[in-house]
Amino acid sequence: MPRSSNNANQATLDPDQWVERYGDCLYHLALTRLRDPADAKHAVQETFLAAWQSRDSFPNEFSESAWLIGILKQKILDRMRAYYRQTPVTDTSTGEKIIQDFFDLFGSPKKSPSAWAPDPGILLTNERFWEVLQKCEEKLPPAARDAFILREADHLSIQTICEVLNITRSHLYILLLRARLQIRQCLEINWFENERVKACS
Amino acid sequence: MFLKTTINCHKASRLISLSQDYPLEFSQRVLLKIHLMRCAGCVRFAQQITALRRLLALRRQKEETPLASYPHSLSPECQGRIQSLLRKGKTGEGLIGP
Repeated sequence: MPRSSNNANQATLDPDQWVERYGDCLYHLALTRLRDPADAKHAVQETFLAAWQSRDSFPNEFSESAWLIGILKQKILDRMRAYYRQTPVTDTSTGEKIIQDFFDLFGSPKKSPSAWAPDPGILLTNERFWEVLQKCEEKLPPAARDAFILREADHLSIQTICEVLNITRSHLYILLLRARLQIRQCLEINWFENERVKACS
Repeated sequence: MFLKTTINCHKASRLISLSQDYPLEFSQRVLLKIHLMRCAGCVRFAQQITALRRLLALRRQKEETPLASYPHSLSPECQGRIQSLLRKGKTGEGLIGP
């Protein structure tokens, strides 16, 4: 690589402004994923330091913020990995029991899903909806919640999620099914049916 | 030979969830399809968990777009600490992690 092109890369980065410009954005994201403020701060600090160290390899096709967020996500995964190595999730029976509790003895749902379909265009700017969704997620145990978010938001592969959470494939499928059943129902009760009642009154 | 052609909603829900993460086997696809033909509840379940995936992707995009302000922010002390670590790195004094 000629030196001039390295300099050209650096010209698009503005490290003096990083903390002020992206600190809160990265911290917010780290906090929603890791939940622990100290953990989230460490992840943000590691992100800025790693970014500084690898500034020469900044890919031009990324924006500065997208690049920093990409690094942060790796740091978040590293922290999750360390957490689940230290505190392995071994219990599958609770998840199984909760899944079975959604159904009666004949395998029919105790409460059949009602008819609703979210309109992303309308929900996008409705902050209350995202609060409800977050509350629904918070009802899940950490492993089920992490599995759900890594899969549905980040679209990570099943293999990667198993490795990060330190669990087997079949265990992950149980966590994901549980998360989907619970979050779907929680949203139905607390948002979609609730809103309809309000609309009728 | 008796061929099993029906599954209940419990089993169907497992297959619906699994299909979001893994290509189903031919026999599983057939069983699920037959079930969905006469079960509106499971059709809704399938549609709604697919919608859930779209919503989560939307939230991710929201989270990754820097805003003017956030409910939680880094304390000035924390910002200062990171700034000084970055500065040390720049002057070649060496970078040390937390």
